[in-house]
Amino acid sequence: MKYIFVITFLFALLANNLFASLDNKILAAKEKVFPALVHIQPIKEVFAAGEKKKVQVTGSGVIFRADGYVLTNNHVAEKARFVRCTLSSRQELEAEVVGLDPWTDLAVLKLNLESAGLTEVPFAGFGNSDSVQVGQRVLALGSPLGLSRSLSMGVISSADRYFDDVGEMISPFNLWLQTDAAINPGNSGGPLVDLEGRVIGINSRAVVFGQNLGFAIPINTAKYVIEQILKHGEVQRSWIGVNWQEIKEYRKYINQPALEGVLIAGVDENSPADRAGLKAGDLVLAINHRPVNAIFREELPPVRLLIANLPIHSKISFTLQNGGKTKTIELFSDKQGKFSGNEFECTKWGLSVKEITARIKKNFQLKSMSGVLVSGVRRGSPAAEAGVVRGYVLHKIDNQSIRNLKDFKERYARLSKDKQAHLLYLQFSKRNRFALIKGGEE
Amino acid sequence: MKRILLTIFTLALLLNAAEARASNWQAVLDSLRSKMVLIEYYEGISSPESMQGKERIKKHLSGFIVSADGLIITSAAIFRANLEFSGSARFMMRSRKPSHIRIKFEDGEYLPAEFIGKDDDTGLAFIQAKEKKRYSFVHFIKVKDLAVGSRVLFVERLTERFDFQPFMRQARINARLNKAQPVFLSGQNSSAALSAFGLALNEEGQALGLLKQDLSEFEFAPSPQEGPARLILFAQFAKLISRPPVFKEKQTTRKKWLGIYSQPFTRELAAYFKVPELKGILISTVIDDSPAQKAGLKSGDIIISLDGKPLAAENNNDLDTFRQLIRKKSEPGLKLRIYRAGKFLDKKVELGETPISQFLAEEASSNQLGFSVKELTQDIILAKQLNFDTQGVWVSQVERAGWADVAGLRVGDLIIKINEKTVNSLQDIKKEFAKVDKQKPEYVSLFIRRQSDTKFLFIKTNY
Repeated sequence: MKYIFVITFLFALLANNLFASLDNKILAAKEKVFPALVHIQPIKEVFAAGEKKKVQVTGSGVIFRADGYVLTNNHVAEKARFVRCTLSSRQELEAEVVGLDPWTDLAVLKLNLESAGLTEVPFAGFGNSDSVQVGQRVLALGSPLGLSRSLSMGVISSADRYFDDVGEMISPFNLWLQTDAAINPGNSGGPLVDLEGRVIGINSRAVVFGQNLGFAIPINTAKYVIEQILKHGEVQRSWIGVNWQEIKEYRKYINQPALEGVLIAGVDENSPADRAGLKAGDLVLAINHRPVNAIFREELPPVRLLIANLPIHSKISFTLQNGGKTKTIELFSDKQGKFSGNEFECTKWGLSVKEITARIKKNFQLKSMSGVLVSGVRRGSPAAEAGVVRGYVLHKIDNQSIRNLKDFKERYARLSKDKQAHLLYLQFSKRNRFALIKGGEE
Repeated sequence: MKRILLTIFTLALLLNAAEARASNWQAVLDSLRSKMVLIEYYEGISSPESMQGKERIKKHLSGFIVSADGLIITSAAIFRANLEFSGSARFMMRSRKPSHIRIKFEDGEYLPAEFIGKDDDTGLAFIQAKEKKRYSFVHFIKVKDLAVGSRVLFVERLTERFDFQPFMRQARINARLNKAQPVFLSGQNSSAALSAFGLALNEEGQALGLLKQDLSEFEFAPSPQEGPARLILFAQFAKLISRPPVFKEKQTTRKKWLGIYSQPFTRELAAYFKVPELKGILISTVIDDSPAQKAGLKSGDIIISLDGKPLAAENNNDLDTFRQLIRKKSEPGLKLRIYRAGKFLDKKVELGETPISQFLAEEASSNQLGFSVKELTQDIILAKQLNFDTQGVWVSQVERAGWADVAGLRVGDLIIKINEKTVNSLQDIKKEFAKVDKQKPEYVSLFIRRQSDTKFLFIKTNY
């Protein structure tokens, strides 16, 4: 009887300790990251309906260096003119954008410590996202719906979630960490933390019509991006113009179930790959003599990163197979073009134009990169009356070709001041359109 | 005293006449009874997702017999597809010819009829009664013009709720559009009317023309858009009655085609170009390989006359006149006078036939694989920004949850290769479909283009 009592007592003590241990772990982890949590409120300048407008958004970030460098999402920091940050000590500071990377949706800011009378700030340590396991507990810190300094807890639901690019939501290089910790708008840019108090991800996305479906960018991806941004102000990536496809079905089709490699689904016109003779349908077995393999979609980002992370203009060799024949092709990579071009507001005429980047040229299937893209038209403006429509490419003004955005800005500066009518020549798909901006008094 | 009597007498005469006119309505309707029919037909439901094509809905339209052998005129709504190239492709629309057409007479007798063809420009369609007998038909009188304010009578039909009964009303011409091809508007509409298609008569009960209401652009609109009804005079469709447009897949009568997109050359544009007196049509686009391009016309040219007839356009409606002049030409030869960079030039043009739209393109299907393809037509080529001479096929239908759907094929995809064989024509892919049906492979590979990217799809079969 006594023994049963002792055993029960010991058991209760042990159980109590275990549970207390988990609670303590959570609190300890929180203590490590909380002081480095930042509530970010950028004031952005966005273009809407042909006009430049200001809008305030809310997001989160995490300080990763004592001198005040903050990691957050690109979609939080992009187009920001003025960034106000609030530390968890409730102290307010200004920050400036150091660099953006829309391809991974990450950004680096720098807090202005001097003006706040600080020399250093607490910072969080990074973990290793490659060793994250499905089922392990994680904490998400941030400002969901503006409620700053919030913490939510969940587990890792998936450690290699892949998403195809859809419109402007792209993530060719990311294999997302999926979590059921509550991620809401406002959490973007905040840290996903393991129970050791190390940042293992940056919370960025959530599926709004589901429940508990949040996604974070693995911190290992961010480490490379930070390094590049601090060095160059941007991430410099190699680009060769190949669209890859996984071989899961291909190898079933050709009845070689053990086949390894990655399929070329398409080659961009005039790209390094195109000029070197790589073609859709080629099966790439090795890159720079290292075997590559992508059977499933989730294996595509590493292949893309393999090429993207090489220095620009480096020589790359491809060992490929097509129709039973194996051969090697070498090429030099180009620099990856801008994700989004610069935008410009034409107040007098009432429209906004955008520079034509390689991406726009490809998506709109344009013949060249000359001209500027009309990104918005203000209602009731001279441009609207003239019949200018968003999505058209402006090629000529008064029968003189426009080379690029810089050229357009110079011409517009002169032409918008005179009181004369100006004839615009636009194109959309294969249709042209004349639009006459009326002259005269405002 | 005599004056008073005269006045009373005149008044009595007038009153009598008015009464007579009232009872005239009944007489008019009675005389029309044997010449108007209720058309009952089945419209195939648009569904890019179903290969079976069995869904259809029963519809009704008003029709009028216009010839002794039973030619019936009705609204082009009976077959909604836009058959000729119109520069705006809508791949999602599928439209089938009306089927199981029957005409119902006043006495309740049903007779079968078949679809002859339609004319999209006037918005009229023709069906033919199958039974060979002598029919009484509507005799139209040729009226050149109608003044605003003229009284007209309309004979339409009520909706199903009221058993499609004939419905007569008096109206006045409220407005007159378009000098070249006058269209008359009558502001009062009766939304109770069936598809707003009816007969227009003068006060004496003589048929002047047809009454049409512009139909909504959207296929699924429950009722026609409210708007003024248009009266089309007999002169504008007389030729169609004597030579009805025939719809026969690839041999449909097609109108003439120049191959340009145009804009009105407004007074402001004229002032900008420092030619304030100049009037015409501004060419904004010359379509590749079109008669216009072959004749040497260029974007920016201003067409000032057609076969010596001066042109002018201040707004988009005015462009319609020009378009109709081109489309209605009986001969292909045309002389255009254009203004280019300060000079006047005469251009001889050899008009072509309007290219067919995707509705007339031939289609091939693989019921097993679960998708259909159509040969590329100019409207699709333009929409996809392909080179004008591109040959190939595009996916027009994908059966929901069929093998191709599961593999990720979508309507609008361009098929470049199937089983590694390049597809340049419908023949090419038909051959491959036949091969696949015979060999029953485990997988079928497709190389497709979707927007600006290409990719491979592998259809897993399950024979």
